[in-house]
Amino acid sequence: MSKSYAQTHEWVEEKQEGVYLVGISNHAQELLGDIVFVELPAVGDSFNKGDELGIVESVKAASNIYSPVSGEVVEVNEDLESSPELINSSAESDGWLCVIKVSDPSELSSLSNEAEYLASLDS
Amino acid sequence: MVSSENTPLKQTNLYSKHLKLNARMVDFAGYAMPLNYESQIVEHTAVRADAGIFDVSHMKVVDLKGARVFEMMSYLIANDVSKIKKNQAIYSAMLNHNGGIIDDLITYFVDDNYYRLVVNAGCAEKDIQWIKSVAKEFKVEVDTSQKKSIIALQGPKAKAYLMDFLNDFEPHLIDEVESLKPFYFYFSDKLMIAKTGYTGESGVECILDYDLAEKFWDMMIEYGVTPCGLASRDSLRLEAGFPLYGKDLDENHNPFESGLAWCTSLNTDREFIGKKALLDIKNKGIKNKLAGVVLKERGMIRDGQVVLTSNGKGLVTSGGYSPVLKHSIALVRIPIKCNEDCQIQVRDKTLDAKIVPPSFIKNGKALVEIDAN
Repeated sequence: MSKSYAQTHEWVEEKQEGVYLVGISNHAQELLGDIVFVELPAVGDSFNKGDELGIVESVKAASNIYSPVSGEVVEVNEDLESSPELINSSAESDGWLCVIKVSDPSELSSLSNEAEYLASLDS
Repeated sequence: MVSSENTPLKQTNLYSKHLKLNARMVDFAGYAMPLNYESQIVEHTAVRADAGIFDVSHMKVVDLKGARVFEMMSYLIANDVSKIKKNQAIYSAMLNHNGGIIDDLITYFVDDNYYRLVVNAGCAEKDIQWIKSVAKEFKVEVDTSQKKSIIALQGPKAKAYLMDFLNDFEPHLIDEVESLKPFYFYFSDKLMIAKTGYTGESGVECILDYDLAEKFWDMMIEYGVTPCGLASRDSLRLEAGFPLYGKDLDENHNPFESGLAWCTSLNTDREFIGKKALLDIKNKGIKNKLAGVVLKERGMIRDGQVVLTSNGKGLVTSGGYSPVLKHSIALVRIPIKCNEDCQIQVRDKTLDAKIVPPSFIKNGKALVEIDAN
């Protein structure tokens, strides 16, 4: 499945029609270092694109996660409570953060594909 | 790599080894040093369970020689060198005349006319200037020309690995090094092995000639010792409750409020720099202390955050994460005589924490119990 990326290093990936997995990129986890706590939103919370979705605490710093899309949280990754290091080992797969039911699918077109995102990191 | 002022960074002799091991390098006190090789938590855990190896060659070796060197040391540092014998080392703060801490360092009693100091990289220039100005009066020679590597090997298995190395390279030293007690050292110009460390585990810190250092490093890595960078060095010392100069210790705070009363020897006639100021401070009453805190809730304590205690506000001097406790821990400077329960202001929240003696683990095990609230 292909991902779309925000400039702030979050990714989305379609899980089902209109429902998207959200996580942070591998590049982001590398910059953060060992992640020790994650503050996730609650199921049922609604966000606009760009709102603070949660916080990732690494040994180095606290980092905000910004919602790449507007919508409602329908699921959160409970494994991250006991194993926040999943984000380090598997940021773009098992380290997913939450699932959002998207309210405005047109927002997705302003996100980058993987090639565009990786290229933007070099600039 | 260049520093922020665009001057090229200094490199230790082991620089290429760090690159070969894919270390993430950072500027520390003008040196390109390894921050971590892989995960700092993996490195930290390896030191607590097995052994880790650290290049700390950025620290400065200062050799003091002269007939009156004992007198000088007696005056220079807050701890009392008459406590140590030949081949024994002592930890101390070095104070200014206001009782503020210029640096913390280890002093090695090599010979009646020879003491070796190892000082922090970030303080080296100012320390050397200070030491030279004191040395004049005692006609002691200050030699900072040594080209050595400083390598720490730390962990419950460190001794076994060290013996493997000595077996191959310096077998005649095995008996002597095997029986070294904590804070004692073997000394030769090309190789010094001290039973000291900054991790809370047993192990050694070695000062070696470059070629021997490379052989030592290569062999330890080949044998499976985990290379460890500055990040894990910091988390290990924090867990062990050891202060770090620049965070927990600085020129604006005295030993009493920095957890160093234990190594500040005031009870004799000995004159030393800062003594008058300390006696003055003691008479007026000491207001603050350095303590440990453990965060009861999930989250991370960071440097500079405010601590709310029953006796007033304090400040986090070193915030971090304890892989052994799996909670955030910190060293904090807080008012004396406060209750065990306190809170830390973390961003927009106030999180519950517990004040504990500044030492969180011993022999790899937690010293602290955190109530499941």
